[in-house]
Amino acid sequence: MDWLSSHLLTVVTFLPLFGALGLLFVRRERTQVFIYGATLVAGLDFLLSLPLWFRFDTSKSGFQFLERSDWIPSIGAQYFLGIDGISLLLILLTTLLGFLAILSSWTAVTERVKEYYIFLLALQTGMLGVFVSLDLFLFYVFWEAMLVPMYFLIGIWGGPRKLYAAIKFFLYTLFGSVLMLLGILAIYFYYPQAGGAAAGTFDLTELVRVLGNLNDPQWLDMQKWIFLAFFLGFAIKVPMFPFHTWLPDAHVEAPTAGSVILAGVLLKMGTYGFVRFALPLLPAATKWYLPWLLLLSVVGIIYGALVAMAQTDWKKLVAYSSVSHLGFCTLGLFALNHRGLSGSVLQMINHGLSTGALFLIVGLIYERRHTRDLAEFGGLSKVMPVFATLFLIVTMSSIGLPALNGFIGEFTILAGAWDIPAGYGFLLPWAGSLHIGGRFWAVCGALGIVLGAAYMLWLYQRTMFGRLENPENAKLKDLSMREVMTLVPIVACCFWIGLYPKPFFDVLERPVTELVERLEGPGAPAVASVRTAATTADTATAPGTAPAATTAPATTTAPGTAPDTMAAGSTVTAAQGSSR
Amino acid sequence: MPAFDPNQLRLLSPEILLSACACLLLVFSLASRDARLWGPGLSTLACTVTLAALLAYPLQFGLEAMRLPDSFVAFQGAFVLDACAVFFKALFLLSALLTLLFSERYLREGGSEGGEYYALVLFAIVGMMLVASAGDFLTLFVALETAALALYPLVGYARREPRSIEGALKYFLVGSFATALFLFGISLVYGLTGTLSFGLIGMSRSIGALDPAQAPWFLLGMILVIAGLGFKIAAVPFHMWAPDAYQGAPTPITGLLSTASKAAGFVAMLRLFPLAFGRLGDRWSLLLVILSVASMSLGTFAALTQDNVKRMLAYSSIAHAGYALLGLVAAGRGPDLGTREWGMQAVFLYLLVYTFVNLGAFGMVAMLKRRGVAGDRVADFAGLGRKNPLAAFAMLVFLLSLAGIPATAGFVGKWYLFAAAVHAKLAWLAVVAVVNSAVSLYFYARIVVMMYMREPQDDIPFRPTFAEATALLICLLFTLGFGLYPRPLVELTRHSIIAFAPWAL
Repeated sequence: MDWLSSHLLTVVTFLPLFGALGLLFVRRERTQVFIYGATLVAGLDFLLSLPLWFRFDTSKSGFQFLERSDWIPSIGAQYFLGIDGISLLLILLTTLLGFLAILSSWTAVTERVKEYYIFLLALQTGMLGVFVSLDLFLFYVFWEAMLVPMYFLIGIWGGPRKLYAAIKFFLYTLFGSVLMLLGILAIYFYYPQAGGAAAGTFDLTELVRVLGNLNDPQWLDMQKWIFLAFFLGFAIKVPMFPFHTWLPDAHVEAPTAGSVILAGVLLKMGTYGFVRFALPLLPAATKWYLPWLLLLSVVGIIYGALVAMAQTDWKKLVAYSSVSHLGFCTLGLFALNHRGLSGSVLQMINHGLSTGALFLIVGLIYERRHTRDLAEFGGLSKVMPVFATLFLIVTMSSIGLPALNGFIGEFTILAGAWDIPAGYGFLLPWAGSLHIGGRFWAVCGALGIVLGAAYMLWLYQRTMFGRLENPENAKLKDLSMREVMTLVPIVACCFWIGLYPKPFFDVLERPVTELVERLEGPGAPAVASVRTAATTADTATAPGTAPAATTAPATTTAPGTAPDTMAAGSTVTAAQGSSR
Repeated sequence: MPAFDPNQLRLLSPEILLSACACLLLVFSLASRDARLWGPGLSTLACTVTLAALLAYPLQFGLEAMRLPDSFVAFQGAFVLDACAVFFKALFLLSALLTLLFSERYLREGGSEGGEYYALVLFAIVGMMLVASAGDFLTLFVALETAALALYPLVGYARREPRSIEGALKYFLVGSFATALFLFGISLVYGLTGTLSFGLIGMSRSIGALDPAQAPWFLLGMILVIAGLGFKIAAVPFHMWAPDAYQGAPTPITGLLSTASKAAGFVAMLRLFPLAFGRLGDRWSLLLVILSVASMSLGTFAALTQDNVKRMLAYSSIAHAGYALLGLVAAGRGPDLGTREWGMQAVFLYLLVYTFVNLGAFGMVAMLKRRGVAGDRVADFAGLGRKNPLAAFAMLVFLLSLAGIPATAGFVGKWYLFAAAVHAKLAWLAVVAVVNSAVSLYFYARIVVMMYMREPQDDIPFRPTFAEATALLICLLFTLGFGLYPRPLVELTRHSIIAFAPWAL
């Protein structure tokens, strides 16, 4: 028992994998064993992850449940696990959705049952590993190894274009992550030069301690490149516009459980990567790119919503809504303030819950009708009242109706975005020195909420209301008890977060405060980077060019003041800048 | 000139033992044409015993004890037995063992049974083992040729198949051309420095024995030597022979060509460049940068369109030669000792990992050969996941490992190489490498798709023999085991590069 409590993270992470290894030795004909076995393992994993929540000390700073042992000592890679409030919530989300995804597959998957559950369980371990790793090497191993089971889930049990979608998903994400690997290597080799131990380390806490607030011109210059590498890895995963094109294919072709996991957990790995690695390790570069990051976020919000509105495929609509919702997550994240960050993390959970539920709902309908074409549906609320009720709640949660979780997350994010300093924006000289930035981003976000309500309500109207015209829909069976049970926990969580979000914000309080202090506190590199889109677009896209290099030595000499090392092009101070 | 000291021959005892066994096999094959009964067993035994003889000393005293004292150098420096040599000799013997385990059933299916096959494999290994110990150009040349002369007939061993003969002929002709270039390069270097010993050549450069007028000729000699060795490792633009020879050769021999023979080329470079051309590090490493980029890119993109697995793996092995060159580049261009050692270690680690992974992959292709079915098309893998889940899983692991996905040994190897490039401040080279590495997943995935997402095309069962299953399991356990816990490999290679400590300083 002692061992269990001191190695709780290891147990939670690897239990699914060991379950999968156990299932390997069962004969493939005995499908019931796989169904119940996998459900049992995933359920047990969820139960084991609950003590993390109850024993988590919200008053303690830093990471908890630490586990550390040597792995490859000569390069300094360790088996180093630990969680803070941010990873805690994502772990609980993962174990819950993993369990529900398996529960939803009982009747949906009838072919090659053995491999299916083995891959699902292996995937679970990979995802949990990403959220618990505090060693960059270990993190990367989980981050990439997790692609393999997901590739198989899409490629074997997917829809008609499954092979295309599977390899597209794999290649896209692999491309981003190998570049991220180079970023990790660059940090690893810079660390001894920056005054760290000569042996080098991948220990995140140590790297952040040494490099996080380092104001060395060479390091600031390097950061911009390293950030680009990290950005590609994470932005493809999120996915941020314009790296989102793998997502509709992967989501549409994946089996229901695959979509739930993909939308619910996998996409969060990208945003989590930003929060955990990019922001604390590369604060100056984050600020340097901030206008672009914010721009991509709001473009993602609005573009995703508009494209979702035009879809005729139920699942594709939900897939594009993910692009829009993840745009909110990144908007809050790059607001770089307390409200934005905590709202963003909460919205990751919210999106996992509501979009996970939406994919489950699509799966339930698809299992019955074997089509997802919206024109085929209409008036379903008459034959499937329970289904319609649950779908309504989930829809409202996704839209952001007060009393449900989506509202809390989106409201907090917009509040955070409202506080974005006007300095983070663009100056457009060809449009009469128009300055977009600051509150402009929040306005765009609010517009996205309106669009989100439009496509979701329209979806609900087209499928649930109206006359029951298609005779095939007339004899649809309502949800069975098991199917209701897959949705009820999610709906319960939606109400919980919507009505009483305090426990969640409490858990996030410490890590977010620390992160914001790191970014904005004394000694943090402050950057006011307003870009003039026409004249200095080149300097903005090609980092490390003249302006930054020349201003750097001058400013680092002034201690105590926030060094303006990365100002490029025409700089507008926060006071002058006016938002639109 | 000091007298010949027979006592020094004991350093060569593994090579002598193996050559004796090979001769014995030849004598046996005179007595009986049917080598089925004794060929595989005897040759496997010979390799095992030689391996034991080789490892007896380092196992007893540790690799660190092989720190190149005079007692480990024979014949005025022509033969060197240090940690590097032991590492590579063991690697050659292991790859020979795996090749032999995969060969037995393959040859039976092909209907060609002869003791000379096993003898030739052993002779090739003897040649490579000598390469690993070469201390001067003469040993190096003779050793490389010994290996090559044994490999030429092996590539053409399936003499009833036109492809095999075509491959062997190409291999032989291009190989002879490369040998001529290599020899010409040696003669230039010898003519300008008056010595064949690697160490003395390096020193003569440093004391300025060359006047400026001669320098271009010395560089030309170096370039020609690089060209000759580039052929051995199948680096672009000296790769033309590889796809045909790989496709035509009996599949286990293809495995041997792509691993041991390639490693022999690399160990020759490791022996030669730092010692003889150490002061020209930035020159030869620049050439290697070009070879590396060309090999990675061309190998990867040519492999994308192949339908024949052996050809695909041939191009992939060209790309992998490019990756491995990254380590040598870091060893040549590294600004400090740490970087150079890192590069060296990366090459060692990568070649070891690649040997097991690639032999496993070619072994799987060999196992698919059945009566009337060559088994080397991508489509031949269809439905393997159903027919034999364990074998398909092994192939999956090998392919992921070749693509460098974590939790496999291939990732550790590639990680070290990419890290070497970043460490040597060649970030752009690392970017080229990782992008190629990501693209390569596409063609490896084609085999995965066949195995797991297609139905079997025939109902011929897939039943490996005991020998094949053993070899496959060894490769699988190696790839997965050291992928998850690479520490022993890292420590081993860290000790193996200790031989280079003198020049690296």
